[in-house]
This record gives sequence, C-alpha cells and structure tokens, in this order.
Amino acid sequence: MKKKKRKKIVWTSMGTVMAASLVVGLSGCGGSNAEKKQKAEETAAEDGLETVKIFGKNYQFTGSGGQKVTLKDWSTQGKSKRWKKLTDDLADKGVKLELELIEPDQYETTCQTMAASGEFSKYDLINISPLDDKTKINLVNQKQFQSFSDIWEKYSEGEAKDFFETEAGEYFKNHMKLEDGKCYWLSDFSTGIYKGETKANMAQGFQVRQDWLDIVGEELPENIDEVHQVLKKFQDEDVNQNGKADEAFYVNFSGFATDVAQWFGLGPSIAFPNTQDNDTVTSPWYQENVKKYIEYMKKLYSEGLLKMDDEQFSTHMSNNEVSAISNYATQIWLEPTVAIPEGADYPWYVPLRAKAVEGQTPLFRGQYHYNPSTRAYAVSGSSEKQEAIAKILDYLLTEEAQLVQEYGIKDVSYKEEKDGRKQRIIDATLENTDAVEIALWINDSIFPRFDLYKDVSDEMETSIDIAKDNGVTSNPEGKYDFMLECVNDQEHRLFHDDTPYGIPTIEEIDKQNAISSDLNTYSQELLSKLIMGQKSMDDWDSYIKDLKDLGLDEMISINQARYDRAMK
Amino acid sequence: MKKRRGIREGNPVITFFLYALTAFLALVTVYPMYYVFILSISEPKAAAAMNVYWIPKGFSLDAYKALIGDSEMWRAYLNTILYVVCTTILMLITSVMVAYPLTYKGLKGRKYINMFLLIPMYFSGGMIPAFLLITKLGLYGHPLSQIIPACFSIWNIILVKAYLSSIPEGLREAAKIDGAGVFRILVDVYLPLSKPILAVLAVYTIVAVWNNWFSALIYLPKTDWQPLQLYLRRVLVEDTKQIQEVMGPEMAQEMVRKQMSGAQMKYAMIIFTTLPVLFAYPFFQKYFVKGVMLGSLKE
Amino acid sequence: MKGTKKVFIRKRSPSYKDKETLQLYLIMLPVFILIAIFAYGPMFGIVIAFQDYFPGASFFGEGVKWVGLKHFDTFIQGKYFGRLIRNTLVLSGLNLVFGFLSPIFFALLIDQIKNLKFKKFAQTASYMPYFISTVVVAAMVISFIDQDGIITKFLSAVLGFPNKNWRVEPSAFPITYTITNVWMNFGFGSILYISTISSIDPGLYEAAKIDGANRWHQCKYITLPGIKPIIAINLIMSIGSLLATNSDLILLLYTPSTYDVADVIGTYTYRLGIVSGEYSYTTAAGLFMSVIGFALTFAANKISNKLTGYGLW
Repeated sequence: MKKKKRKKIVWTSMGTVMAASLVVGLSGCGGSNAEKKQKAEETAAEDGLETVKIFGKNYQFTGSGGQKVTLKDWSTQGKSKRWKKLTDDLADKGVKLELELIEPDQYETTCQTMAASGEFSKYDLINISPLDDKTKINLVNQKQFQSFSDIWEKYSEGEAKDFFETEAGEYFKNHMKLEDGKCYWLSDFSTGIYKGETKANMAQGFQVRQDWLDIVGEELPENIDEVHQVLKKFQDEDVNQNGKADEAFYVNFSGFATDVAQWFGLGPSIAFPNTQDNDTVTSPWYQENVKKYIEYMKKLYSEGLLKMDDEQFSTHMSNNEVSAISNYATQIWLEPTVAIPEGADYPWYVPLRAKAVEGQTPLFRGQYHYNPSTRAYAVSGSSEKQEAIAKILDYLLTEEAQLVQEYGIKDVSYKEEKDGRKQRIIDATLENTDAVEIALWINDSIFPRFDLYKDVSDEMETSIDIAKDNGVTSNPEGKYDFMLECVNDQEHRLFHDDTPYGIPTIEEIDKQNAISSDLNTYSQELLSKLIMGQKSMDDWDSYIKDLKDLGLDEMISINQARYDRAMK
Repeated sequence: MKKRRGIREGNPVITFFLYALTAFLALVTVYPMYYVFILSISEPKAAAAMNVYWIPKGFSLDAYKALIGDSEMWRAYLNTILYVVCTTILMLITSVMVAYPLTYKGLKGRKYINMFLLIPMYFSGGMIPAFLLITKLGLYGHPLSQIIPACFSIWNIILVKAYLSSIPEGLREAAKIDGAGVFRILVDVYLPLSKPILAVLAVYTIVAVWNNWFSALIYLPKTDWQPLQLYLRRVLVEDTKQIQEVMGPEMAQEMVRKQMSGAQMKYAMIIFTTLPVLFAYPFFQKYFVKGVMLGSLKE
Repeated sequence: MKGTKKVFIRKRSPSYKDKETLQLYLIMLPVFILIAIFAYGPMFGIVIAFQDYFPGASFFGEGVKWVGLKHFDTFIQGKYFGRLIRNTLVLSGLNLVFGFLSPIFFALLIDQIKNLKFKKFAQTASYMPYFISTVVVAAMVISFIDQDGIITKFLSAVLGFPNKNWRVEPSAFPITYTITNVWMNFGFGSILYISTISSIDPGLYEAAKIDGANRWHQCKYITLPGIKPIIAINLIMSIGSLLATNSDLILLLYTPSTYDVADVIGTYTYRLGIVSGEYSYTTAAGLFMSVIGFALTFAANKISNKLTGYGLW
C-alpha cells in the first residue's frame, strides 16, 4: 500500500512538472509566432514610411478617480484622437513609429540591463533618463549613441535648425553639450513667458492657509515674526478643531530648499549659483544669515510649529493638520487632498514672502525662463534613421505639435474661453481617453518635451478659476498676485534645481561621487539636528571645518566650472 | 502516585499564564492584519488618513471592485500560481536530491561538495552578470526564467540534510540487509519520514515564490508573464513619494493624484494577495503531526 | 548474529561502496549542474569590484579599467565607515539575540497549548505580520510612535515617558527596529521549529511523564535536545549574515536625525546608488561584507562542531 502511494506521488509530481513545462513551452513558442506575424504585418504595411523604432517608458496617467490610461493604451486601442493626430502628422512627413514600451517601475532596471547587454542597437530612439551621467558619457565614448547635433544640422528641414540658432536653442545646446561641443542626448525644454512679454517661469513659495487666517482674524504675514505669530495662533485656537496642537508647517528641513531659507538670502542647495552675487557658486553654510535662519527654524521646531515633511505627509494633509507648505506657487492640487470637516471652507494655500533680516530682500526659488530637465533621449549609434528622427524633431518643435501635446484637440481635451485662454477638460473616469492634461508621449516616455509657447499667465488665471469653483471668497487671487510679484521681480530669483549646470566631465563626476554622499549625509544630519536642537550652535566652527574636510569647497568649484561652461 | 499525576497534568496557574501569553502574542500579530482589513473596506478618505483603529469608518468596496475588475491582475494571479506550483515541486526534488547523499557520512569528496555548496551562498556577481547569463541562455522574457534559477536553494539543502541526518542509521542498515539499493532507501526509508521538513520547505518556497517580484522585474519586460507581486508592487510603488527628485509641477500634481487614489488600494491588495498564502499553511500543518517517526521504528 | 553481519558487509565492501558512491553522485549531478550554471556562472561579475564599471562595459579584455583595491579603500576610509559598521553590528546583534530566540521561544510556547483550535489560531495569527508588506508595516509603526501615536500615549500613561515623536529620537531607534523586526518574523520563523518538534518521538514524552517530569523538565530534556541540530544550523547561518540587515525596513524608518544609529552599510550604499550609478563601488562594498560573512560562518561552524557536535558539515 505504501509503495503504491509513494509511486503515485512521484509520478503525479513528475507529471505535473512535465505538464507545466509543456504549457509554458508551448505558450512560449506561440508567443514568438505571434510576434513573427506582427512583424510580417508591419513590414507589409510599411508603404513608403520610414519606421523609427523607439524604446521608452509606458507612461501611465492616473485620473482623480483612480482610473489609469497608458501610452500603450493610446498606441494600441485607437481611441485617442491626440495620438491619431500625432501619427497622422508624422505619416504626412513620411515617418512611422514602432514602440517598445516598458512599465515605469521596471524601466530603470531594464534600461540599465539593456545598456549592459548592448541591446540599444536594436532601436533608433531611446529614453535613457534612468542612466547616470557617467554611464551616458561612457556609452557615447563607446559609440552606442550618435550625435544629435549632427542629425539636426544635416537633416532638419527647418524647425529644428532654426530653433537651435535662437537664444533659447543656444541655451539648450550649451546645457546638453559634451566636451566635443556636440549634444548626444536631448532633455525636455520649456521656455516661460508672462503675457507674451516678460520672461518668467514657475516660482515656488511658502504658502499658508488663508481660510485659517480668516478664522483667527489675521492678515497675510509680512515678516517672520508675523509668520511665527500666525502659526502659533493656529495651534492655540485649534483651527482644525481636533483637540490637539498639531497644526504645523511641514517641510523637509534637512536641506535648505524650504523657501523660508530663501527669505534669509540663502540658496536652496549645498552648492548653488548665487544670482545675487554675479552667479558665483557658494554654499548656504558660508552665507551671512545662515545662523539666523537656523535659530528661527529652531524656534519654530521647539514650539511644535515646524515638522518634517516625509512619507507621512499625505496623511497629515488628509487630516487637515498642515498650516503651511513649500511648493509651486500656483499649485492647486494639494488642497483637494485635505479632508475638510463639516461646514468648513475650502482649504486655500496662499504664497507669500516674508521679511527676515534688515537689508535682505526675501528671495524666492523659481525656474529660469529657459528650463531644461534631467531627462534624456538619445539616438542609438547603429541607427540609420537620422532623416526620420530629424523630421520627428522638426515636428515636435512646431507650435501645432506643442498645442496637441500640452492641451490636445479643441473641444476634445480642452476648451477655449472667450478671452482666448485654454481650459483643459477634466474627466475623472477617463472615459474620454484624451483628457489627460499633457500628452502621454512626452512625459518621460518616448519623446523630449518642448514647451516653447508656455504662458505662465494661464496657470495663474487657472488658480483663480479653481478658487472660484470651490467657493473660495477670501483672497482667491492670492496665488496669482504672488506669481505676478515674482514675475516682475526676477532679479531676486534663485535657481530651484541643478539644471543651470552643464553636463559634467568624467573627472568631475568621479570627484563629485567621491565627495557627495558623505558630504550630503553630513549636511543633512547637521542641519536637521541643529534645527531640532540635538546639536549645539556653539560648535559652529568645527562644523564648518568638517564640511570643508568633506570637500565642500571642491564641490563648489566643480559646480562653478559646470555653470560657467554652460552659461557664459 | 496522585501527586505525580498532578504534576504531569501541569500546574493550572502556569497553564493559564502560558495561554494568556499566547493569546497576547496572537492579538499583537493579528491586529495589524485586522487593521489593514478595516482600512481596506473603509471610506477612501478615511483610509488615506489612516485613523481607523477598531471598526471601519464608513464602508466602501471600491478598492476591491477595482482590483477584481482588472483582467491583468487575474492573469498575473494565474502566472503566480504556475510559478509557485512548479518551483515548489522542483525545490523539494532538488533539495532532497543533494541532501540525501550527503547523509552518507563516508561519502568520498564530502569536503569539496560542502565547499562547492557554501561559496555561492556568500559570493555572487550581482544583478548584471546574472542578467547577462539569463539572456545568453535565451531565457530573457521567458517564464522559465522565473522557475529554473529559483528551483534550488543551498540553504534548503543544508536544512534538509540536517533533518535527514537525525534519522537513525539503523533504518538504513536494515533496508540494506533487505537488499535495497541507494535509490530504494531514499524512496522507502527517508522520504516517508521527511514529511515534516518537506512540509516546511514547501511552505517556505510557496511563500518566497509568491512574494517574489525582483526577478520578474529584471527578466520579464512584457506584462504577459508577470507575477502578481510585481503587478501589485507597481501600484504600490507608484504611490511612494520620490523625495530626492526636484519635480516639475506636472509631476508633483501627478504624485498627489496617485497617492490619493492609491491610498486604499494597497490595503485591499495586501488582503487580496495574502489570504491564499495564509490558507496554505494550515494545509501543511497536518504534516507536523507527532508520531511520524513512531511508525517506522516499530517496523 | 551481529558478528556475522559485519563480516558479510565487509566482504562486499570495495565494489559495493564504489557503486554506491557513483549512484549517489548521479543523484546529485543534475542539481550540481544547476548550481554550476546559475550560481557560479554569474560569479565572474565580482571582478567589477576591481574595475570602474558602467553598464555596457566589458568585464574582461581590452577597454576594461582596472583600479585594484581603490573602491575598497574608499569604502574603508570613508568618514562614516566606522559608524556604518558599528550600527550594522549593533542592529544585527540585537536582531540576532531577540530575533533568533523568539521563534524558538514561541515554538516551545505553542507546543504547550493543547487546545487545537486555539493553537491553530495562534499559529496562523503569528505569521500574519510576515505577509504585510514592509511599506505598510513601516507606515503603521511610524504612526504608532508619533507624538499622538497609540504606543507613545501608552508609554507616557503607563511608564511616564515624555510625549514626543519617537521616530526622530536616536535612542529609540534600535528598540523600534528590533521589536518591529522580531514582530514581523517570529511567527514565520517558528514554523521550522514547530515542525521539528513534531518529529520528536512521543514515546519519550510518555516515558518522561511516567517518571514524574513536569512541563519544564520535558522541555529541557526532550524538546530542546530534539531541536538542537536545527538550532545549531540556523545559528551558524545567522551569524554568517551578521553584516546584513533588513535595509528595507531601516530605509523606511530612519531620518537624517537618526542616521547616527540607523545608517547601516545597506542604506548607505542605497543612497550612494541613487546619487550615482556606482556599480563598482557597491559591488566592492558587497564583496567586503561577503568575505566577512563567509569567515564568520566558517568560525561559527567550527565552534559549533566543537561544542555541540553539530555543524553545517
């Protein structure tokens, strides 16, 4: 009896394994058959169009109702009018796209493994954003990517060539070029303008709850003492009415990008180009008012008015605990995440700049009016589709293409108001597959995003609309006013990220890599602990010495070199 | 005799204490799952705020509806079941196949075998060389890439060997006298007695394969063959804030939308994907029954 | 009879043993091939620890930039090396003590529960935490030890601790991490011991009870010795992974203010990996830890063999 049972088990398991491998093997074969069929169909349908093989990310848009639309959906389901327009227009130019899309969470790893195995040669245009600069440069040296500059110079039918000769184009080129003066990959690029005249782009700011100010009967604070007072009053009077003194300003204060630091004239990162000092790169640690800033934040923290912004932030927002934030001035997407108590007004964050120190105008962080990004799209070294790619580039640089990309099709994904302003159509269920704000092909997916006709007044005016739609009666134009102030005060703007720097050389990268991790760890720890009162200000000189030992000055000089190469 | 019997039954005070301690531990471990469960059926905003503790706030099955209606999810579920079944069966086979011969204490070359087994436990070339190997073998994108490299584990081999070594050699000698060869001894003597350790191995492997997403992340670029955990992690990870990057305004906005809609999803997902594995254990529990050895000794 | 048997076997000895050995090796062969291909195959990649590697570079031959021990140097001489090692050892050590003992303790405890239903319920409950993803566990822990968290309130009410956000307190971190880790793993880890206990001959218990042994005696003289081999193996392997920590959990729980006690090798290299794709450096750090882990296992095994007679081989 036992023997039979055992034999049964052994045979059953072997049988299962064999059956399973059969299934797997068959489907594997079936899969490649289907693929072969598809390729045959494609080559048959070529009809004179150049196919450009693209390897990119399957960007996924999440609607406010939780529904999702992906680039794959657009390219395969045939429901998107915007996608149809893109492909039709490209077909008119004789270009056809063949997409290989990988899911966003896998993209980084897949890109690296593709680089390692030399698979890039299978494609023409590749989204190489996940690769670090050193790898990118090394791959260029290995001839895995070819020169984009050569492509547009030789094959552009107009738009691309023209663009790169404008001031904006020059700026872009200078920030993308490698040591030989050529660009081997392109990032996104936006230019900002206000009402067609003033050059300006998105600004960021410290924003406080206007509706809470009304509850406690205060005006918008104008200096740091008033800011302190107002934050304290929110807590004392328990404006969110949950019985706890939990109303606070949430920001990541282990770094200097807090907007409050900028009121003291400090830069937002450990080594930054100081626009107030002829763009000389320096560190907030060396600046005049750094101690005063830390003392101020220390005071706020010790009174429970300042808290660290971390992964729990969205929970705190939900719980209506956040009195103030640091974010883009015209943001209108954080307010909906607050769970408003019964009968309360719609939450409304209004940005402001407060005076901190005598003789120091409060600065603000903002995008430069020419704004590249950290993304990268490259052409593989073995590709022979230079002409087709140049045509794509030409197309992406036209105003028409950018309209489809930013807003879409009129009356399908956007409406035009009487005053000519465009309003995007929002569809929470995403039944309207085109109602996805910006097109799915330029958001870190397959194409670089050129946004050359952006007028920031659109965003500004949208903020007023949103306010009115939600019944905000008190200071609905708060965000607009602040942005306008910033637009007209560009001389007090600081760069908000690292994009002003040019591409580093390999030596610079190596030097930076050797320093940055430890330096950043030390700086973040030090700043957090000083503000939290866990380290004493008395040992200031030893801290500065430590920072120097860790290479702060070297970091500064590297960044200066990179800045000068690109900007001057 | 009466006194001794009293002690044999166990001091009631200590018994009570032990039961109470166990109950406390059970509560402390059950509660978080319960917490996840009530978050998954509460109203979405309450789930985002995470302030439900004992009973759900509001009621909403939206997250589950969204999950169940997703056909890609079911495909991923099927894939996972396939991987689990195949890998577990193979794992049991491979572990025993190496562990059993190692119980022969005088086996020639033992030392070399042990070194051969030990080294890979500590030294590995990393992700990229492994990737290159899989690609060279033609397994990139193929479901077998999830099964074959995963169907053996040196740690399991060591474990099974330790367990098999505790089976008395007398049984083996007895079988030899009966004329049994090496293979026969394995099947007739060792296998029946290894039920407890094989059950443990099965549970370990089922859980490990069920939870695995990393090898799928690297080796399965197309969604057809991707397992459940990769699919779920996609939704979960997309909601995690990227603190390092300086985001453009559109990205920042997108992040917030994802966090809002995904907040409740992750709880529903945990419940949905954990339940099957939780129920696998009791099924194997019956193999952890006392008296497995007893029968064989009497023989 | 016994004597006759011995002679009988000895006569058959030489060819019989060889045949036996061949058969045994044949059984092991398929798996050895698997190990050779999938475990040893990719091992060559370790060389990138001695190079300046980037994805797309070759591993051998021309075009490879060999840098010898440069990365190890950078790693060991880094400002934070000492701290990283210290933290790794402390957190791992705590985990070793509490995380290793708790599954054993729990298995022994469960063994005492006679009520089948309750036993099953307690067991199933105990391994539930293992299945909740680390992300959710961390979120729960963070909210529980926040200024208004349940645990904070409990601590201040019962033990008089101040009401503050314990997450940013360096002194609280090791405790938080250890308790969370233990809580996540003790149930699942006890499965192994519970199953081993079940294979102990019940006759031994019967005999002991007749001799008047109480619960504690039974445990000490029967149960514990019964699972000694498994404990030894597990302990050796755990010591070998002393330099590995649950980096996922730490990444989710730590903040710059707790770097002092929470930053371990795993989290530091993770941060490094974000800044720059420093493949070579992280491989070097990993190799460094592997060598130490290997040496530790060796040592632990030798000691275990001497003390208890049980070992990995």
